[in-house]
Amino acid sequence: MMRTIAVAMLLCVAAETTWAAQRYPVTGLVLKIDPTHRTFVASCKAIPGYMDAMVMPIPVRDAKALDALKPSALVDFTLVVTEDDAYAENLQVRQYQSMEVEPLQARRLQLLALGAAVPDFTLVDQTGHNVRLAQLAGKVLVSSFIYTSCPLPNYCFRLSNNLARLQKRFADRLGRDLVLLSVSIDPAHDTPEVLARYAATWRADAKSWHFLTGPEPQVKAVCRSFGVNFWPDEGALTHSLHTIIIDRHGKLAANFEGNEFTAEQLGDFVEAVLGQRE
Amino acid sequence: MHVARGQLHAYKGEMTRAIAQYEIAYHIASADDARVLPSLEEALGILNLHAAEMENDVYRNPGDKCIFPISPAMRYKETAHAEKAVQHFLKILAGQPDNTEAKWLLNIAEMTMGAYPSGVPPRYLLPPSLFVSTESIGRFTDAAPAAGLNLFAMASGVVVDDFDNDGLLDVMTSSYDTCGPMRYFHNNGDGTFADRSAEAGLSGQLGGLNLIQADYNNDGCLDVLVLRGAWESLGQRKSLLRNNCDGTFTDVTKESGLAVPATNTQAAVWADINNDGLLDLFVVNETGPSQLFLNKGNGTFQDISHSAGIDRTAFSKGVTAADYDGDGYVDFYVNNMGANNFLYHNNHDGTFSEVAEQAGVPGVGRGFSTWFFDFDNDGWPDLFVTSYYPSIDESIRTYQLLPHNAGTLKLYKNLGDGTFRDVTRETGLDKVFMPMGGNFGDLDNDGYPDIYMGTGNPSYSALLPNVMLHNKEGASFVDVTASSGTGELHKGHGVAMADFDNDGDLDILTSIGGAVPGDSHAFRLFENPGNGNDWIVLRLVGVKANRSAIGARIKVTVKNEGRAARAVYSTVGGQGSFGGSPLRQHIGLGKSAQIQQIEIRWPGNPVPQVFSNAGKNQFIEIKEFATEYTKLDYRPYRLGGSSRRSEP
Repeated sequence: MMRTIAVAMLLCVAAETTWAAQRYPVTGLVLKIDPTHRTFVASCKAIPGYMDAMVMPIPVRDAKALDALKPSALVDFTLVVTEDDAYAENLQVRQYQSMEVEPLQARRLQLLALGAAVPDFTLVDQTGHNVRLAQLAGKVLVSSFIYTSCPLPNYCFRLSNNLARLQKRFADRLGRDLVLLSVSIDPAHDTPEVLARYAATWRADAKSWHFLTGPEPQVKAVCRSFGVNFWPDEGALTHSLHTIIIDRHGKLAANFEGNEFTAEQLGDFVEAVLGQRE
Repeated sequence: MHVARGQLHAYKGEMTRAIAQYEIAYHIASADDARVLPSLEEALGILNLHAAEMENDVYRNPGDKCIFPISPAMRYKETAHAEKAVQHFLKILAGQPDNTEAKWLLNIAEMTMGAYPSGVPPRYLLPPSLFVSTESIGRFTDAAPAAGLNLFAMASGVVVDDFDNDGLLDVMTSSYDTCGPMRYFHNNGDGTFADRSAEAGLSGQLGGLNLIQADYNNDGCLDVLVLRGAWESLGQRKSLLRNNCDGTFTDVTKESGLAVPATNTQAAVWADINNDGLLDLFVVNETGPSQLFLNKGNGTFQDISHSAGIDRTAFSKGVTAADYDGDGYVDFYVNNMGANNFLYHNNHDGTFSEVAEQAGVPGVGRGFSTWFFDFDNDGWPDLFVTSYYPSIDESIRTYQLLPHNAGTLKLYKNLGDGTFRDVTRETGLDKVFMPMGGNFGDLDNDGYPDIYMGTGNPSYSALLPNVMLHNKEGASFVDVTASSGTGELHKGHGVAMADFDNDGDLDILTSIGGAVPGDSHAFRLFENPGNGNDWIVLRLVGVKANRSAIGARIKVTVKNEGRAARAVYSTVGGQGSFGGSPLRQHIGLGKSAQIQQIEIRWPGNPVPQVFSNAGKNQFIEIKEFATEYTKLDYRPYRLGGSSRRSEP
């Protein structure tokens, strides 16, 4: 299922088109870093006219360039393709910046570190049943933080749509291996009934995609540990954007900020986490 | 479809047509989709309020009609749209009684009809007591129309300085409107200005949200750099405009080496990083790395951004320069949006180290304009850092004295050991104002720099007063917006403080206007009513140092009657990053002052230049190494000319 291509294949394409070094701007979501082989694996967006979106291992000339990378980072780089080589240069990790109103200092909250155990919590889903994190142990969890009356299509709607794309892509593993969570940051308004209607938009199966709400202090506590900050402002809620992945052992595998990654890149990361068996 | 059409009409300022489209959308939504009604209700309220302003000529001939709080005497003649706006805001509040933005706009709409506070339902009233100034430094009046400064534009940058060396302060502006030309107003010396944009060769220079001035080629005439591309997705070319010393300017961007790459910038600063007497240029960008250009002394610049270690990328909105640690080399501070700020310490070898975290000046992650100034006159440049959080709710919480969710302004006091202490709260600056342009200057000549900030955001709903803050002897800042009459409700961008009429006090020129043609507005020239305090103005001329004297530090030791001697500090070129005050330094001295000593520390020169016989309330020129200063015969005049009535 994983859309992987070897650098060697890439070179074949390059060889057909030109012998001179070609440079392509690429944005990739880092899945894995391998300093020993001076390589990182990334889910890359398509390069129009050159290659489709795909997961690929990418060498660098200087292993030091990998120091700034970590799994889940969104990185811009130049892919240099020569006659007999291909490598990345000018690696720049992208810091998510939104020019929209967004809660300040979200990144200054006491965030859970990648690899840290995620504290247990219990919230209520769209069917009115309690969902406890500990009960989902052994499954990979993907969670975003939204509210149903969010007016901006590129914020909550996009994050929910990303999860809907995961639901489709991983249909055969959903519920068994993978569970999706959408935590509402507007618990006063987003009752289980409201969430059930919202879930219907995405044709979410309540057994494998839980839309969660609960008492505000509890919701806040859950959100804050992942850097999600929110408050009412100008008749709406203002909030930061996060999508997190928890591995089978209940540890935080990724915390994506913003909305700049694609559903495919998120899916590639999920697939990598699903593949971690031990 | 109707909303999209309505937005296009609103963009152009065709409010009646915009309202008609939104009303159709509202009608359709009433039947089909009630969820969008609150947002349409809000839009209709705002559009009607904007229409009310336009039909009462508030944008072109504002007078006191948009000075907050709006006096009942200024109520609109045409009130139909304002009444409709009130109805829409009331409907929003019926469903959302805690919606602060709707409350605020309701109160404003009632003010425009002279019905505030009595006409506002008590549960929605923001009482007048919230906005009263507890003190006053006098009421300023707008002298722009009388002076012939007929600038009507979208958001703009301003520079006030003497471009033709006749001792009179001229005005140059550039506009966010990519089709809007630069304007150049020559000071006639009689309280009026003449538009010489075309004669100066500037009419073809389009766009540019900000501009900065300096004599980069040391020929004695001030040159200008126009900064473009701010808030845009594609980079735009900067323009370096060389002053030909004959009233004209030539675009020398390409030959100077500044043309490529095109970037998105609205902030840059001139500073001599290696004390070679040549002004270098540091440009910060929104989407690409910052750029440091070394002045080669032959009209060209060399890009040393990378080797200097100063080419970090952030969404940078402000930059300021000062030798914050007193080691004789200028340092830089960058105010970023969405990232921590940068304090670049000059390593004296053409490289810089980023030390914001260690120095304790991280900012709040939502920065706009910024500046170094010595707010407490201890001889060390402190840092003022704006936080631009575009929310009416958060701004109104400032007046309601409620705690903030968003980050506040920041004031970092320089401790003199390379670090700073956050004194925001103790100086009363823990406030949210939505500031964009801004500047500082001693408006009441008490020896302590005050603050004026232009506020707002692109939305038509962002009707918030500009803000004046009086510095109380370096201990705290007090809001004197209402008493000063400078609380212009529309969007304030470039701000310059300058003594336009040579009467010994600083006036304020500010661009007012938003990001779309329908939000264009007349500039304001707020004339200072004066005060009983003394002052002195110093024009510095570098010889070994750069001719503009940028970076020269002035210390005036002054004795006020009945008080111990004290020092007042000022640095040439020290100003807000969005608004160009003159390079000549206006220094307030307080009441019954006696100047004991003037000391100049020139960049690159460890030996101070000292004068001990200067009189007060005069303009003087000090040339580097000279043993005598020159008195400048600048005569006061009345803005608007002698025919202007005493009160407009």
